[in-house]
Amino acid sequence: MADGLFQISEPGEARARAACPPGTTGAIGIDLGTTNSLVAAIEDGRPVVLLDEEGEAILPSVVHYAAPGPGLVAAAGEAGAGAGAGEVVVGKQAREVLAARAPADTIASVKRFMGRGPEDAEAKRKLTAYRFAPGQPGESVVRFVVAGGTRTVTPVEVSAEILRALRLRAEARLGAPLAGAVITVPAYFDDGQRQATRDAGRIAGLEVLRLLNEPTAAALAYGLDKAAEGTFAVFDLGGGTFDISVLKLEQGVFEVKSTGGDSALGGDDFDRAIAEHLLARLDPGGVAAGEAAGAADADSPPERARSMARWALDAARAAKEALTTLLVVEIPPPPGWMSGPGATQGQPPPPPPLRLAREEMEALVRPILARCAPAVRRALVDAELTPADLSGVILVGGATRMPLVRRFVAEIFGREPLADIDPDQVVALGAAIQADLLAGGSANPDLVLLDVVPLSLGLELMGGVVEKIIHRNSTVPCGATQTFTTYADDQTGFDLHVVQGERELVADCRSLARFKLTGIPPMPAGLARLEVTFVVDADGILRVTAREEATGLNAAVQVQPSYGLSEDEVERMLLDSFTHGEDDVRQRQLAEQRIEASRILQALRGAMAASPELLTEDDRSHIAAARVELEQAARGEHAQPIRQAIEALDRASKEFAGRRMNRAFEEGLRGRSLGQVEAEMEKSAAEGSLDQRLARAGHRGHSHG
Amino acid sequence: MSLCWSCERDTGAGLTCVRCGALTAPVVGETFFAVLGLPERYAVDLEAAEAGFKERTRLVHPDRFARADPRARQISLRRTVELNEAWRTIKHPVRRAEYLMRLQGYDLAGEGGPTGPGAAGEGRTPPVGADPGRVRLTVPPALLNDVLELREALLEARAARDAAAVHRLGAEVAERLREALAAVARGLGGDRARDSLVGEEGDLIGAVDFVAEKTEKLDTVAEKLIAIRYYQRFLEELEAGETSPAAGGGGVSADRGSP
Repeated sequence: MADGLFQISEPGEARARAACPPGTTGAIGIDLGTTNSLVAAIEDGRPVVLLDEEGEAILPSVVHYAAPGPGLVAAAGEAGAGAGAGEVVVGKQAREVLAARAPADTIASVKRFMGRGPEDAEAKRKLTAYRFAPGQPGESVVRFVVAGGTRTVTPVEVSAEILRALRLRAEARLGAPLAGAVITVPAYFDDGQRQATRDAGRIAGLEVLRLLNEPTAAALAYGLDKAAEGTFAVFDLGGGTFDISVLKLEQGVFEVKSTGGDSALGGDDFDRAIAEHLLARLDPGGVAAGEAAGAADADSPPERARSMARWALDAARAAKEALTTLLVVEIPPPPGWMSGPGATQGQPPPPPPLRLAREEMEALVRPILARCAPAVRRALVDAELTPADLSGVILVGGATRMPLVRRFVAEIFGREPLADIDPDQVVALGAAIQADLLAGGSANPDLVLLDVVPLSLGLELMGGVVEKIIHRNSTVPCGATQTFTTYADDQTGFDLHVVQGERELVADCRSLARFKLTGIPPMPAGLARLEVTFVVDADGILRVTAREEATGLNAAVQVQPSYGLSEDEVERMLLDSFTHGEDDVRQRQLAEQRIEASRILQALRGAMAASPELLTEDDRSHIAAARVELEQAARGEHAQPIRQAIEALDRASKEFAGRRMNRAFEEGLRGRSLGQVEAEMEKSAAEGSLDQRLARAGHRGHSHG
Repeated sequence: MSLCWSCERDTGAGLTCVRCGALTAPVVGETFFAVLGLPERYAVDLEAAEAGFKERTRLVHPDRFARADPRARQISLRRTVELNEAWRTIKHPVRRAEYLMRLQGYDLAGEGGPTGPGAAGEGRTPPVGADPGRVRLTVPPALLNDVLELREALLEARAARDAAAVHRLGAEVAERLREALAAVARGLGGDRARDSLVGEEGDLIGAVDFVAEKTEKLDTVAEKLIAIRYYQRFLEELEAGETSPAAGGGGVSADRGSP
């Protein structure tokens, strides 16, 4: 039996549990960011970010769908043997290599499209590197055309690829299956965006325990780390979103007092402003800018325009980041650029690099940053606080590294912000704390988190006016029931339109869902009584039910999100994801065998250190050889060799193990009456094989000395 | 007596079943005061009430039941929804007063105020006005006049870009709101003491007098609460106009507010 000896788990422990290294519940926190994503977990009572095989914490949120035929992926060299046509590549390689070579097939900042329809501003932007599928009438989801035009994918599917990569990373470290995941979302995400994020998690094969607001996650990480009490503002400026939250931390209760922000404002907008400036400088005639702007026009796919757009955006991002420490940067012009498309005659000298000073960059960024100010003021008013009441201001998000942003925050709050936890990691760390809590971990058993609804939820009345049913900043979960009646005589149905937003008119709010309740018997106006109940669960996701009281008509209402995916589509994507299933199974087996290997090696080291006197020279050399073999196999990419090496090590250590077992058994007998021993042996016979009992006795003997 | 959904025995009166420790389902008809374990009166020790709210939240919150049986999760959700709604109502002085009035048979929600059925008259699905058997109140004409004048003054000040005048109007309405709220607190505060007095003496004539006096007093409170709605609305608009001048919400709301 291969695993007789070093299987040291306690009786009754489930297999899944046993696969987890000690000190973790196997629940993960994921920061699914616009630019970068991370995964973290609690290990030995502290949240840690999980690294990939190369020791990187950050996974760039970039997904490349390779075109059929001899693909770029293989050409890119680093992809390894298996990569090629039809392959999906996530992360650094997708950003650094493939985004430049195949901009349309490489989706970055997909978070900005989550839960958005083709009519949203984001999908209509001029400066874009993507191809969009032409919207069908009634189509409610954005679709990207990728893989060289052979495939369309939705933002949910793209996000699922990122989540899947993080899941595999976590499984390699913690073992599979995971106990579940908490995924963070901007506090300002609306219902459709939350639904989309949850769907992406499901498609990626995660059990989504909770969606957690990013600023709340950040405060959680700070609050527990510093054991701080008081009221904090979290200023979170990421790649694509801006969030401001005010939280009160008191005796283990984290209460969100108010939240606000803009789900379409972030570092990407800075990049875009800088990019437009660079294009204008490069080419004052506006030819390049015009070409790049033409990229949105899907009829004539101007590949060159898309790569100009990509160059400008990448150069802008690099310049912005460099100007965090430098005062001026030089940006080389795009490869092949000859100071204007007309300059084909002769060989003009390559144009000089563009110089960009920090002050110039800040002048471009400042007007966009200023859009944060009203949301900050409103969040303070909603929390009934002034800046002086705050105990601190926490910075989150990569964009808060910019000196301009820090000055802006210091000015608006009248104090220097805190930034001692890495602003890129703080959200994932907080999510891991919450995941551990939800999975029943004991790291912070008394913690309670009270989050709020970011935007009011209501129903449309006749005339396009909104009746708010759940108000902004209500603590979740929450619910409310409102009674409505018919407007016209003999009205036999209700048209219910659920909207989200603060404005008075439906046209200014976001449409969430429409449904009908029909079959009401004709009555005079005002006699029917329609009870509509809104419930927002702890994820911030809304469920609406309606019931007509007079007739007892209990409509089975199907709430169809106006934006987002239908349940059928999610099911289809789940099925699609099983085509990747084989790969997942392989990865999972590999992860399990690696964990098995490390546990056995550790147990063996312990046993050898505890009883060196029981080892013969032969044992030592056999065990050493088998150990080296196993360590090598564990570094490989295949499960089977690891399994074989484990068996070999087991054989090599068999005699040593037998001697340890005998001694433990003898020690166990000493000092006890025969009756006790007999009773124990009977009991063990009933529970399992004697071998197993003995193995456990051996383990105990070792751990006590 | 109610049966536990989990062990099917008598649960006792608490949030958790006395026998098996499972969460108990919300009690139909329980007031928000009862949900929070508070006496039914206007005066509330908010600090103690908040501590009680948080203590109860610890017991019932869905975070505690993330991986529990679906029925337990459902009950946790319902309990927490109820608890949050109760605390949202009780912690706010105006909402608390309105809720107490509702328990007394006054339906102020949606009565007369700009968000009520007046505005929804042309609505596709207008909210139902007062429940049958409830006291309906009309908005005093003096108040309507008052508010109309304030709105006009606000529109004029905005048109003239006179920030100081806008600020003055805000301060004036805020002061009126404070006064009205103080009157509400006085009106609701007295009732309890008189109730117990009548109960002890058993004075029937006094009780009749008291009923008449109480009704008058509550009518006054109701009027003040209606005025408060108008003031709050006015201040919201003023603030909305200040934080987002481009929103254009002020004009639209002003139109709707005119009867």
